[in-house]
Amino acid sequence: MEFIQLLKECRKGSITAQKYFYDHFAVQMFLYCRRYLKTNEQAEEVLQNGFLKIFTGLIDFTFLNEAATVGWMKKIMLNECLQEIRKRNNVLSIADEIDENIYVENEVAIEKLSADEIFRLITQIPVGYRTVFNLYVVEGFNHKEIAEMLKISEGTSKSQLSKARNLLQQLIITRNMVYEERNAR
Amino acid sequence: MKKEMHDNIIQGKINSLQEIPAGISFNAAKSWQQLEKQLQPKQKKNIIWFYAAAILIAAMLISGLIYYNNNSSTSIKKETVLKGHSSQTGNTKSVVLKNDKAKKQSKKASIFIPHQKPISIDKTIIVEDKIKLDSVVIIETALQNNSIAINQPTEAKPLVEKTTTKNVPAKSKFKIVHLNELNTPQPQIITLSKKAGLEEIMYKTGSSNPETETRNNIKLFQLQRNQNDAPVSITDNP
Repeated sequence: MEFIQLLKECRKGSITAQKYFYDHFAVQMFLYCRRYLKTNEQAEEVLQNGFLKIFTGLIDFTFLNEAATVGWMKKIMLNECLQEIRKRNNVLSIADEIDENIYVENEVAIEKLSADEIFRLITQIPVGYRTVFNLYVVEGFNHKEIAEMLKISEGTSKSQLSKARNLLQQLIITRNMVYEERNAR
Repeated sequence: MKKEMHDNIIQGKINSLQEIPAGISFNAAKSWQQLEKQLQPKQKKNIIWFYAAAILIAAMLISGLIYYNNNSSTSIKKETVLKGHSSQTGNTKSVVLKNDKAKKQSKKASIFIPHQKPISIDKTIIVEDKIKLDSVVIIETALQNNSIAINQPTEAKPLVEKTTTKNVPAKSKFKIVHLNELNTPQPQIITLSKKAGLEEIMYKTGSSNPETETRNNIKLFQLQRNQNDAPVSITDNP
């Protein structure tokens, strides 16, 4: 079935089409939500709400192409995630201290990491830092946009990003040390 | 610059991730079941609203039809006052009908009387809660039977209109006469003239009405008797 046909069927309210649509995008969207949220359960809950809004919003959605549709879905999921984060007060309002110098570059270490490992490392970062990190590094928003979205100052956004980078670096070093120890044994 | 390179590496690897990493669990089927529950009630709610709207529209249509029918067949219900009224002709009575919807006017109406032929009335008179009709007998009979029905719906006009009733004249019946009867001679007309200023009575001797004949004979006899010896001349006028 073509993607546009699938969308039309979902718009009509066909449960079969919606199931097919869900199966096609569930994992991708779950990983997207899980990157922002603390637990799997929270991510599942937000995923359900997000799909509910997607199916409801299909009535007003104008189809351009599949990539644009996925982008639209991710935007809905992101809003749901941020709403959940705000609800749980997980955004840390840190003072506007920019400590970019703390970050230790380890280019080689990151390149060696697989996608799975990077994902797991990101999920280990506290939610407040992780949110800014995801928005800035993965989604490509700038600090002004992030500040507006999270209703924080640009300085706070920069500070949290810096801390997130630092934490990630430490996690990578720790992971490498463990890995090297295993190899040594 | 190096940060940007790192960011690009991370971004590329994260976006290329298609499978759930180890240590993270996701039950898609269970999640779909919960989502399906949330999706289905909405559809049911929509159907319920659809049926509710349909029922409402049907009820409105039915009530509208009932209201229309009530208006179209105006029944004279409440106060019916019959008043004896001596009109100019002296032989007619007027019937005053008070109705709650009397201000409405009908252009064409018909009065239905059971066991009789319906009489068509061109216009019904309604003048400030009063309906005056000349054909008293018909209206009286109709009121006794409670069966006045005005078929045509009325137009709400505030102006008072005076209308007239028109009875369809009954067809005159001709007497059936045998061909031989036409050849009989012309009937003799007897004029009774009364000396003391009595009116003349034209009497057709060939009249077949025995009642009239008998009545006239009795009158003639009484005249003769009352006048005692007064002379009565009977002349034959051929």
